[in-house]
Amino acid sequence: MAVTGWFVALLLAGIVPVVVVGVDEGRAFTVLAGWIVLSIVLLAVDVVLAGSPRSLRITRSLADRVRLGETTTSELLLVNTGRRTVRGIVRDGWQPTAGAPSERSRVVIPPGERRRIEQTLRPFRRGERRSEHVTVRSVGPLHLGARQATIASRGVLRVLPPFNARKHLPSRLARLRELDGATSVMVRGQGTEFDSLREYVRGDDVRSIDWRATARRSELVVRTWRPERDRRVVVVVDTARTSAARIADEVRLDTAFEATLLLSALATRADDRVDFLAVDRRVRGRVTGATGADLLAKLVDAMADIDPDLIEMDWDAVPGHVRQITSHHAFVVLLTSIETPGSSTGLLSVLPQLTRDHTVAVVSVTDPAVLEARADRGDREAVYRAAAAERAVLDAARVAAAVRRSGADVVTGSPSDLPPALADHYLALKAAGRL
Amino acid sequence: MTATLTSDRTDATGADGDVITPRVRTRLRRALFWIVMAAFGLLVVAVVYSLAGAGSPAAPPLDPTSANPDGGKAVAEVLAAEGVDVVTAYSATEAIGALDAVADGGATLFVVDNVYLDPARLEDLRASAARVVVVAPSFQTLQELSPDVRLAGSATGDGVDAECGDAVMARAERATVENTYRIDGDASGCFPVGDDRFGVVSVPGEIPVTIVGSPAVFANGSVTEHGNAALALGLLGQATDLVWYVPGLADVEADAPPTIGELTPGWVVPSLLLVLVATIAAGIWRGRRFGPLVVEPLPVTVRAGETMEGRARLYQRTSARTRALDALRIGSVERIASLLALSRHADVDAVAAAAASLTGRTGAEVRAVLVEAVPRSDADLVALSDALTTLETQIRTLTDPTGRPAR
Repeated sequence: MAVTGWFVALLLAGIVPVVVVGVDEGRAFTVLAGWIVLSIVLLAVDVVLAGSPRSLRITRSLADRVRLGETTTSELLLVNTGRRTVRGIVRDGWQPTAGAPSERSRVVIPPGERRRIEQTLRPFRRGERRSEHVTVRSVGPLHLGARQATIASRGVLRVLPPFNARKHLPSRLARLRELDGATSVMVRGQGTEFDSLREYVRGDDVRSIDWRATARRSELVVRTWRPERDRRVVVVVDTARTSAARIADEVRLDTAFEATLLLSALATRADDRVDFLAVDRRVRGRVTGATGADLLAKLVDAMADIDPDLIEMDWDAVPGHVRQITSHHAFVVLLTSIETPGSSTGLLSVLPQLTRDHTVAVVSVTDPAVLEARADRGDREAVYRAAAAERAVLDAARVAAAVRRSGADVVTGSPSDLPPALADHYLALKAAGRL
Repeated sequence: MTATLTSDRTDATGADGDVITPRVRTRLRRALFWIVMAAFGLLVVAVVYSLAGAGSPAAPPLDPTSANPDGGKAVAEVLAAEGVDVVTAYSATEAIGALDAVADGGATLFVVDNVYLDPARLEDLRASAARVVVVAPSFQTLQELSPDVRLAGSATGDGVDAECGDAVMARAERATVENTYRIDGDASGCFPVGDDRFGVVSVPGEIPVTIVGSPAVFANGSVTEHGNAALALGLLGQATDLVWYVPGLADVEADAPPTIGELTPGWVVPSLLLVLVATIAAGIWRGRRFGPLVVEPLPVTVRAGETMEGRARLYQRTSARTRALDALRIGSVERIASLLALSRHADVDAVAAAAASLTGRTGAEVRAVLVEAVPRSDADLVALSDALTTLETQIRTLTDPTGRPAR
């Protein structure tokens, strides 16, 4: 049950008769009591006459997934199975970050009829957004009172990571094609595979002329190469404590996901196989054996509801996880953070195991604010801050040096630079044939 | 890790289509236990209240209808049972009316002195009565009733023997004495305390006045002590009519200007009540929640720069200038070494020497900036930090292949 503003107005309107008869206090009190009783009787009648919200049958129609930053439409179908018209307002119980509009929908549903309510959802957080119930407030014919009921009706919307780094993909794909022997720019190296022989055209590198084949034929023949294929790329994302840090308004984990998506999109075009693991003390997400468009779909789906956990990363288990995915040589990408020697001991202790069998890259986000603070020497406080920033940079550099000594590469960048930096590193390795 | 909000009744997340909101009778049935408990609690309170006899907590002392320890109900009831017609008056006007109503003007007037008593009306009151008993009169009242009797301070409040010839007093033998009086004229005192101080004073005359210093003599709580009861009944039961006058607010307001309450029109209070009811209704209108709260677990996020800020403040608070400067120097030396294309393992002296030869400064000067100068104050620290920056910028400009000055 609920009362409306009209009921309050009705009560206040009682001041008029009270003042009119108000010369005598006793009679004024009688009028007052009578008015209040009359108002309550009217309210009771109104509530009884209101259509029952319990008689509504609710069905939903909703897209199951949406990218973060995009909108989707949620539809509610309300069927009135009662005998009275239900007129009132409907609230769909979406979680706040589902981005449902704050205004409520008004409906009038005569008996036996059906109405549709459309809502535009603009989720602003990754993960699974839910609505567990729909609340209907049915107002009576006098608009004084209302009946209210909450009806269970589950709606689930999966909000996928946005993949903003997509904009870097075309340029990296072009670079990938340049690696391919099909173009005139040719890269030779031990990691490239012999593809075919073709006629020399002006602009080809003279070093690629195959003199033996030229001798057999009457024209200059060059060898073409193509980059190696069918390599394994294993991306391991650290979802533990340090991934919760927010750098330049983006959580470290989200940057890691962006970098993973860009690398995966690139690698699957280059005919490499990409496997994905999100781990802290347990495996939070795993995508293996998918290729092409299916890979990206599965990746975003797996990433959707992974949030940082406030626990310590279990690096000892990582070599085991990687071994489960592939026993052959692979390009292992560890998306984590390198900050201080103390917090990186776990990583440093297992790196040799990984670098023995694989090409390893340790990828970490750097904080642009630290670099800015390092350069700012304005006053006393700024100098102390610059010293602290310098210390942080030196610590990270020490860890990076230790990582390099273990045989792994280090890729760092600000949140916006890191995905393309990782993609470039991958391309460089591919060109060098180190995959 | 997750922020969990409690909600009303969200535990009932039923299958799709189920109505979660309970019906009114379901809710009543669930609340039955508490309704019963509340009713039982009210009953207990009512029983205890009535048994405790705290019927009229706001009644003034010696009110004949008050059952409080300081009330006068016991004496009034006994008097009524003995055939005395007790009339209670709460204002002088009422009291005079009641006294005049007694046929032969032979009524006893019992005056309880309190702050509301208007001494100016005492003469009128006295004139209407056959005899007057006054309890614990104030100075002004005494002046008005019998100027011969003076206040003589208070006594211990213990029982005192009568020691006088008055029949009523003698019968009582012993009574509680609180306030005492001295006598100048022809009045007689009983219940003496020390020299010339009396607990009860009788002033003879056409209309005799008896002054009792102790309210305890008449009060419910102490009337049974000593001979209090005999004294109280003897004094008040001398005639078949008794007017028990407890001065109240009416005495004060008798000739006061009309109050705000009397001046306001009759509709004001009902209108205010209506506004109050409407306010409550508005509270219900706005306060009714539109369905249960929605719970959303939120992930934790931490600002990354906090460790750096914390360390900076630690340096500053402990004045760790050397340590802070060391960090800045190591960073600068490494950058200068890479600008000068020195080996990563080149030591500071080599870097300082190379920097000195490039910039044309003396070796000692560069070494002071890079290694040797010790900051003695924060100003030194800032100056050295600036010197480091200057040196670095100079080398960057000199080594820049484009020859442009560094920013």
